[in-house]
Amino acid sequence: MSEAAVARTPSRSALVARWRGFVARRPPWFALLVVVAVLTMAAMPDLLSGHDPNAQTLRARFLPPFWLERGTLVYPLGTDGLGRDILSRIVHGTRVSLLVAMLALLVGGVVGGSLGLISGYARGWIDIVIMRLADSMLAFPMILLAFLLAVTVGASLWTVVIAVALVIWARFARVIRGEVLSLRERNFVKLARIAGCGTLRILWVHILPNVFNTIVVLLTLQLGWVIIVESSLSFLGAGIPPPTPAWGSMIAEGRASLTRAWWVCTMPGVALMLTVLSFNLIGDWLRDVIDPKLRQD
Amino acid sequence: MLMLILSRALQSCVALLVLSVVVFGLSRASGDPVELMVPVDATQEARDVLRHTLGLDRSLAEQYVTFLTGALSGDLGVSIRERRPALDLVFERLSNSAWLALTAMTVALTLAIPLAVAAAVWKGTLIDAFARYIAVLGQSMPTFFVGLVLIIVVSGRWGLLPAGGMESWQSYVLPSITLGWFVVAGMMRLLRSSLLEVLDSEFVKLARIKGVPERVVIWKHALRNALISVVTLGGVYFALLLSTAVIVETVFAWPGLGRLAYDAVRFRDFPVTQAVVLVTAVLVVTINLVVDFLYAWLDPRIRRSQSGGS
Repeated sequence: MSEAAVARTPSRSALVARWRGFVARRPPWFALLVVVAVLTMAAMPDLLSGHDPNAQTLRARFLPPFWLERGTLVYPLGTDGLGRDILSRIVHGTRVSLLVAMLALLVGGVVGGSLGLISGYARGWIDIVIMRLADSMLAFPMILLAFLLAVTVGASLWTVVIAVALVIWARFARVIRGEVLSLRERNFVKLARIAGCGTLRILWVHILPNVFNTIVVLLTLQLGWVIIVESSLSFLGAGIPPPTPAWGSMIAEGRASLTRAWWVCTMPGVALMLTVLSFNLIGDWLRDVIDPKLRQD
Repeated sequence: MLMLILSRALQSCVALLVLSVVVFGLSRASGDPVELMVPVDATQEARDVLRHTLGLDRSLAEQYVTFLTGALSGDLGVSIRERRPALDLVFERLSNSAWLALTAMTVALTLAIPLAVAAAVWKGTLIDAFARYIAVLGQSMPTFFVGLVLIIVVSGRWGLLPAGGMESWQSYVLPSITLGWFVVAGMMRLLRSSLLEVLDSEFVKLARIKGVPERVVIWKHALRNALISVVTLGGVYFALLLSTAVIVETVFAWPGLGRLAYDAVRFRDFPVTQAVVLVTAVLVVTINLVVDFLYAWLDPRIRRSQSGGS
């Protein structure tokens, strides 16, 4: 904070101080690298995969990864029971997993965030209803309900998105409500009300920008969890229907050949784990830098 | 205090009612079970008779009222697949899941407590960083993947423990570790931060000044108080365990509630689906209520702040 005096122009100094803040908290370079790789895979899957993810080569069934005996560099991470290239399937699965996760996060974040805004600002019985609803959601085995929903309506991209959004909105609602409760008592909000601002305008212009940081941090922190929920649904067979590769369903398919070819379910699992781990590390770091209020210790 | 109990109990009842509507609606929307039960060449007449005996030809509102009054008197219908009372099926499996949850909780506590104590006592050292990494790692590993890796390595490669089923005590080891590992991260973080808070409080300082040995200060004074935060979240942990049990029980072919729910949903056996979800919900809500009351009863400050509106 004292470094701000070094620079001349105030806007520049604020930026410099902010940048120093980012670097001083030691960004998780490894995690950032993984995320960049994952995003590239999702954006341009054909660039990084040598095979069609659904092409079956029955002569090349259950080939191990290249570092093992019988493995070849043609199929670097091996093949599954239908002779499909695992690396290509992982790369193509990235798009599906990330797309579902981000859409679900968006839906859950917008719904949960809005309900949190309304709940915290309106208070009274609206607040009680929304918060009790959120509490019962948090206390309930939601994966079961999401699974029920996905199976009921039939597996498709949007069912999975809605099912996952159903699991996560409550956390957003809870955190945002807490912030709004204290913001609405601040003077600038009171003055805006006295000046005759409508409720919508107060929420949009005065309160939303102030909870924006929290929303961004929550989004990053939840992304990993959302990817896990999505893959769990796929694993249970309620995700995006086959043959579209998704990490969760790849792991589920690999179960059948667990003793014979361990790599079929382990490789997508490692990809999943690395991705979630990276998002979690980045989320933790962002929280420390942007919004220390959310820090747990 | 009485008002608090009454209002919380009322809220829980409303939550359960809302849930019953959701579950009822979802399971009715999941398609016609009659099609799954009759042979492909069954006549329309035979289908209609079956639909009538199952009560599926009445209006949805009527079906819901029947379902609710039945549920209140402990009758949740008959399993379409097994032709036995759905509630019996649930209670048969309940103990298996409860045992698994219990052993998993034991695993979680035996890992989380020492890690959290070490991280709090040696705050800012390598040990703390190590514990933090364990926590992040724990939150980043999907349960089903942990389970599968354990099966591959421990049962497959080393041939040590059974990969599934529930025959002996050995069958408990892998599922408990998988399920327990899932809550270790959150529990450890929570315990560490509340330990740090307690270690900084006046009474701990006083204890130290009085010359109480550090070992006693940490394990007796501090830990006992810090554990309250974990107990408070007991209900949430329990819900998490039950929810994750669906996955763990599927991976390890464990004959529990989660597995029952999984099968019931897949076979559109909606009396069983409803029974599992409702029994689970009643359990979770009851445990949360009990925890709330215990907490309020133990700590008068909470009692006052809660009655003023949360």
